[in-house]
Amino acid sequence: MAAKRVLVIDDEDDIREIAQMSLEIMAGLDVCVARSSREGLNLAESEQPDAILLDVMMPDMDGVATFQQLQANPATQHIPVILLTAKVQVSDQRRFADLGVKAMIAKPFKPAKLAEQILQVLGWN
Amino acid sequence: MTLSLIHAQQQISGVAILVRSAAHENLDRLKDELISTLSHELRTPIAALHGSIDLLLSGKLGELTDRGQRLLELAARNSDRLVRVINNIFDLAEFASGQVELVPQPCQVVDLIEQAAIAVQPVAAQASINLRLHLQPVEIFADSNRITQVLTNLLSNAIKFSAAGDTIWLTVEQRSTALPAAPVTASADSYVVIQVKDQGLGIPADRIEAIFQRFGQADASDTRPQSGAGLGLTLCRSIAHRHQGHLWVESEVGQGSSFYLALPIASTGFSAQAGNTRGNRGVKNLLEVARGS
Repeated sequence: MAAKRVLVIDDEDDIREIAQMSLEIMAGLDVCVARSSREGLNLAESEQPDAILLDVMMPDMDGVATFQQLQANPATQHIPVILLTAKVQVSDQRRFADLGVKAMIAKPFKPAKLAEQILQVLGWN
Repeated sequence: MTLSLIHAQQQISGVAILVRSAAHENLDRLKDELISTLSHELRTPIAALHGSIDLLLSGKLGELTDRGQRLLELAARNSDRLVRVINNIFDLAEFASGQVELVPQPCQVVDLIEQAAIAVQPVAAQASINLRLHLQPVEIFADSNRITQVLTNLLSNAIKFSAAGDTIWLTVEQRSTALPAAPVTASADSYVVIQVKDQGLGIPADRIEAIFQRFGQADASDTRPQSGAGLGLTLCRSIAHRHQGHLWVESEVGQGSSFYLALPIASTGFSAQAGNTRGNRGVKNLLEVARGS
């Protein structure tokens, strides 16, 4: 069976690389990456990943706006989105949950835990 | 003074209040923005450091030499410490600005203590420190994560200031008397009081309250034996107060310290409702969680 594919959208090069390595090494997932929201929206449509790991704070378009665009597009609205965020306030969590995101993972994350959480949230384990 | 002059003065005074209020609001907004930006700017590089170290430590990238492994563990320990300090700083700032929302829910004190004990157990065992818990089931209505955070902090501090072979006792009791030097918000009829008692150096009388202040430590000298930013207890007390409880310490130099966390016990109706869901959990006495070799 082909490995599940995850799209990581994060403007921080180092975080993106660690997230990619974590998911590949710890969970054996196939990972593609985008360094901006715009690039992420395009890749989500063309690559049709099984899930998207999306950073909240990005300069061109934040994670919430990106999520809303993914939801507005029939080609991408079915893809589960997990937010990666340093914002861990309850009000932020409620706001994100109300939007319909699948889960939130707090930064800083532990690679093993990141992979485990993603597998668990998506029911892939 | 003519009426028109008084009126003009009143108007000026009103404008001044509005200006001050606007300036205050601007300052608050600026502060919130600064906290948010700093939080992101500090947490992002730390996330990269933390992640890299963890990946290397996982062993999935190949074996390290003993010295390499040791250095990596050292880096991991310090990166964890940095994360704790930064989290404490932002937690404190958010508590101070009223941004922290608690998520209160019915919870058993025993469960929260066990979680905290499990978190500190490896450090206690490594330092050959005995940790003894005398527990009893009490229902409270609290933010379980925050209370576990306080208990973990109190136990970690007790371990930090104990010597090999020492014992730390954690006991639970119910109290209906007034709490010592408690804030007015702590006015419940009865409390659960969790005591964390150590055999450490103790705290000089003139430093007792200082340890609850930001950057305060019992020994603030450059040669103090234990490091730390001195933010943990400030945060713990803020959390206790937000629960209409209190956190205080009794200590004597050379005799160790006892930290007390008091939290209001859930109301009768609330307890009964929650009790039904908890079943008949028995009393746990003298549970020895970690015993050093």
